[in-house]
Amino acid sequence: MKNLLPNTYNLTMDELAFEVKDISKCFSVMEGDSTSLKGAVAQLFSKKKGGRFRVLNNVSFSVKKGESLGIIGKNGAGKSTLLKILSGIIQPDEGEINFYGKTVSILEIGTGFHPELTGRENIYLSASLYRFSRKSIDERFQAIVDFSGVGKFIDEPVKNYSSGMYLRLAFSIITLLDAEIYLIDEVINVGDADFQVKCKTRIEELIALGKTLVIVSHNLNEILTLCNRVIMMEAGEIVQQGGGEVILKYMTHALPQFFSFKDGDYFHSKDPGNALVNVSELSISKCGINKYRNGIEGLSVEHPFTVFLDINKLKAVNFVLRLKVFDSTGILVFACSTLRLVEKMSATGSYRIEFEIPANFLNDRMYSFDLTVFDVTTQHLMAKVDKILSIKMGNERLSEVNETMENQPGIVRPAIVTSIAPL
Amino acid sequence: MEQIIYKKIRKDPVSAWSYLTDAWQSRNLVLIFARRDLKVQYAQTYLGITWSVLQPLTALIVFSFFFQHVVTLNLHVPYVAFVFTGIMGWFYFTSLVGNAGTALLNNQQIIKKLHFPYIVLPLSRAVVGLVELGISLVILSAILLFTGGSISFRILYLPLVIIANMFTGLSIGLWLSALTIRFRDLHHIIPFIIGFGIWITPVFYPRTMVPKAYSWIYYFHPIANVISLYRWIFLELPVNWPQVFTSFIVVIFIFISGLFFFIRNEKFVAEHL
Repeated sequence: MKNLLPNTYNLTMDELAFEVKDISKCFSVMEGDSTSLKGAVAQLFSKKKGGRFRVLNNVSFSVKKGESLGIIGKNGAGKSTLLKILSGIIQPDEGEINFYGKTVSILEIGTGFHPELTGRENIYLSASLYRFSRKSIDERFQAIVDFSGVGKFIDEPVKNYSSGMYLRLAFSIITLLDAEIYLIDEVINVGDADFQVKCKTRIEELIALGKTLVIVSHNLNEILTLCNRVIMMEAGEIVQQGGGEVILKYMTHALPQFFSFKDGDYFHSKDPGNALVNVSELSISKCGINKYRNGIEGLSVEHPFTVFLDINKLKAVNFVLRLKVFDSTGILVFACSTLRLVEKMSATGSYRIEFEIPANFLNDRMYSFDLTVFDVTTQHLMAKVDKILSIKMGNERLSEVNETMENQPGIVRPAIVTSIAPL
Repeated sequence: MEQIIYKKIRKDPVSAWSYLTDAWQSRNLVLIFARRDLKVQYAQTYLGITWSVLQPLTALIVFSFFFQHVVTLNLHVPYVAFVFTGIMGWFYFTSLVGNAGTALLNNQQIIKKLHFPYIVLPLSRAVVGLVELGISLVILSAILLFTGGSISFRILYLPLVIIANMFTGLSIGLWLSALTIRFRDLHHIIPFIIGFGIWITPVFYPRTMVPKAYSWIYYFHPIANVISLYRWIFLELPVNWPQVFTSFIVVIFIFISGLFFFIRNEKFVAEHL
């Protein structure tokens, strides 16, 4: 396994991989049925003129050789359109893009695959679409079959394949592609955990080889670990650029109800005048924090840490604070509350609540915290703040010996194996 | 340091020449897609390749029965051989109009994800149709054998006539394939071309039966002349050469304009799908 620490490969920082200059793109949104001849004729005689919807607005950026750039943003922000323009599938209305190297775009795994064709036929079809000559496919054929592990099923129609086999075969074709610039769309998020690890490993190999990557993904965790630069898009424009901190900003930016705990704001309760509690500070113990590849300070999976929540209780109502922890895909990992200790907080005044997250519990990914307040007697929800905190866990051992073994799937990674001893 | 630009993307219209060079470099895709379509077409039916035998045979039986027992035509050649040469050319033409015309629509999954010269898609349908034409030629040889026909030196011209047949179908197919992207309901026009076209094309009747007043139409009717040429080769029937030449100029005109129309609109294909 290659060592993938950032200082082990040299970025040729002065050379550009490609540059995007003032790219704009409009899609026409016509009234009524514009895709039919009937509709077009009707439009000719109608006074309603179709509007133009601006998908990209003067987008400019450049990517240096060896960089891996992540593009994030909400649905409809223009990420995919940008990638399609970079891939040459859609033409820009204005602007230009200069590529200083061979590009390949992977917008889908198994492009051109037909279920009726055999594995062999699909390899030839799909690889030909990526402009491989027959001869070069012949040369690589055995490697593809070996890599995919499809074995004797290679002459079976792929409709009879399991979805895992199908993906492995499709992916093995992609691994053969050779270019300097890779444009990748959401492909990492298909298949089971093993497959995703395989994809990720391949992408990390490309990074180690000094290839230039552009990755569009909704999985912020992936982008955070794979990319050294991030572009955030909103309504067809680049609103943020930079390292991993852009993602952390995005996590909060994406949330209109973000609770700015530093300002000592009140909770958004149904009755603001009847404020119950405010949070004066939210912080994390500094133990076990270390720096990662992309320059972000992160928490280590192997160290415990504590979340401190400092509050001012303004009314003598008994309430429970509950912290819910989600992973980046929105799965609830666990919830914890102050229920057992509620009597310690009966009087008004300032309190510090400590939430201790044990070592070897959270996995090497991103988590966000929601805070809710419940009335103890009525059990009514009194206030709720989504994403009050976002954290990124890191694994220091990842760069050491065995990368794939260290890279554990799952939303938690408890240290279950505690001892091995000779009998 | 000045870096060499490997590829440039901008709005500039693509020159037809550079497009065609690119398409030529991807010419293996024509055969790749043709093979896929043939395989898929015949994998989904138990009858397999016999399906493409049954289609022209059914037409042959229906026409032969009707024009030998219901309406009788005065011909110097066996009607079965006469009508089959017509069916053969007409079927290749209509299969190209129908399948090349919808080739982009039917491959939108690929078009949305990968860029390559999409013209290979309608072109590949010409190769698929060629296989069916080959099967028809085998049937025709059997018919000629049984009706006592002979094969003359004119058979050497057969490849040229087949190419003419191909371009006649492709010229309309190219226009339709680019137009159906913009206007989805346009593919409804295909059954019209096929359904009414057969009545104004001498497939099952000889062109000598058409009144003189209307025969000017054959100066502009390429597929009618392609069929005449098939009959000239296999049945030694006379051909009106001036009509062949003028109608082929029409084909060349439709084909080249279709090519330019296709190239001009190709860059919008993915966006309109």
